[in-house]
Amino acid sequence: MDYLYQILSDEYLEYLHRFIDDWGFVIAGSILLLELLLLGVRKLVTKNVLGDAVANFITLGMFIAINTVLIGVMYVTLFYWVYLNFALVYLPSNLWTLVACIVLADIAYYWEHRFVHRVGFGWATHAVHHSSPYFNISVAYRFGPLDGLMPLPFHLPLALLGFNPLVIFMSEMIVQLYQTLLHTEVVGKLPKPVEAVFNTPSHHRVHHGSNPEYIDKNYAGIFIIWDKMFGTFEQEKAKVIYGVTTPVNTVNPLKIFFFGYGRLFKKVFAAKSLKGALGYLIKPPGWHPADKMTEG
Amino acid sequence: MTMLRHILLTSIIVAAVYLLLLWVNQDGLLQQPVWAADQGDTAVEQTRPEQQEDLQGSTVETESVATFESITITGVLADIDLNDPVLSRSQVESAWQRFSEHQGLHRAVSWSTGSNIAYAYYHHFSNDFSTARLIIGYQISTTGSGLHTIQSESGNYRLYQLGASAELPDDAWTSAYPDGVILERHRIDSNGSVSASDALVIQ
Repeated sequence: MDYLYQILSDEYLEYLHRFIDDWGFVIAGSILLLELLLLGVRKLVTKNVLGDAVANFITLGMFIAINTVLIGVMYVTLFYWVYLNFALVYLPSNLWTLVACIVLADIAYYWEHRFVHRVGFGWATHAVHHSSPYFNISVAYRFGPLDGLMPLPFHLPLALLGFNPLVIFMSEMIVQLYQTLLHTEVVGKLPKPVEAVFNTPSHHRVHHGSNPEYIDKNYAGIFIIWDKMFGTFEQEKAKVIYGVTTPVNTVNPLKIFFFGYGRLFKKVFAAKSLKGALGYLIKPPGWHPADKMTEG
Repeated sequence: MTMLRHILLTSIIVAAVYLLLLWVNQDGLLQQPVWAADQGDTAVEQTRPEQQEDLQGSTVETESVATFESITITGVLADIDLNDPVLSRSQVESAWQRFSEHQGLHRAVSWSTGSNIAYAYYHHFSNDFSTARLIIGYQISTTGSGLHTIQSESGNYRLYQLGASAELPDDAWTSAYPDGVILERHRIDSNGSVSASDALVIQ
């Protein structure tokens, strides 16, 4: 068990992070090809399916550009500043610490995910990810403009607890990468013990559903037990209808990338009062100052 | 009320995981972070500790203090946990194993004289002497996968001759605390056999 205590150097953590991330992309790409092949066999590959997949990767590129230029340096600097100045202890970077950080990052992700679904300003960026009417691996790479910023308040406390920021970033990446592989319809339900504890393609299909019974369910990253604990779990029963309740109806990546904030700011500027404008920003999607349900 | 319950439950779960982690790591908690060396941006391969031939001498003699200039050492890097003697020994052995297996590093030096000096440079000791960094390599500037480069400190060093299987005495180690460095020199031939060793401890 000595290897569990062996210190993982910063260089090794960076190397491991890149290794897992790169191979995760390769594996995801392979699964996407398999999905397209299966769709092709069933003669279900259309221009829209392919266009949507291409648009997904273009939004990924735009997301990376925004993250690198605007968010990345600030994000990393803030983590190190908190870690160096306010950490309660400094936890050694070993496997025990990495595993614990993954668990804590997963519960942080649950609350971050619930936040971006239930707060207008968060939903505006996350809606991009949900806006695809299809469900395949490429959808996992469909990102909104500020998706890189949302984890910050939920994961920063981990630096306060004394986790090396590199361990935190790797944990965040592992939680994200796990979910990437869930974006598929080729896998049905997994064995009951797995479905009971882990997030699975079935659980995540429910999460992407715009069916009324599936809205705002199954926020989990890796462990579905958080949804069961906090009352947001739903089993996959009816066939899932993917997308948002008011569809975007386009494969134009620019329109997709900005549609969330476009709709939000349209409502904000059309609000008749400051209270109404703020309400659109912080209340759940679908909230309206008048007594009327709108799109979410 | 429901959200309050959720916050409470989340806090309990986080506290439980965190306290369990603190208990598991109780011997390894640091008072300051151990940072990566600034030199090099290549990956470091980490191998499991394996049995490694002891490279240190059996007889230790203390020589006078002399001045040594800074040298450039390129080699493999390892973090050493000084709190646990068993763990630190396996970490050092693992580092020597990685050094011996790094063919690129051995090819970067000339073997025309039949031997070279391998340097084991202990540095970056933590304030509480619980951790240190170790680089094992040659006096070269080169780049490659898994390699790091560092400038050793110039200054006054006390020289310890090491025989066949000895280790530096504890007072030599503690004299390096808290800001010091220790530089071991091992003359090795192209077969990896060590013919002579000494250690320089900065004063």
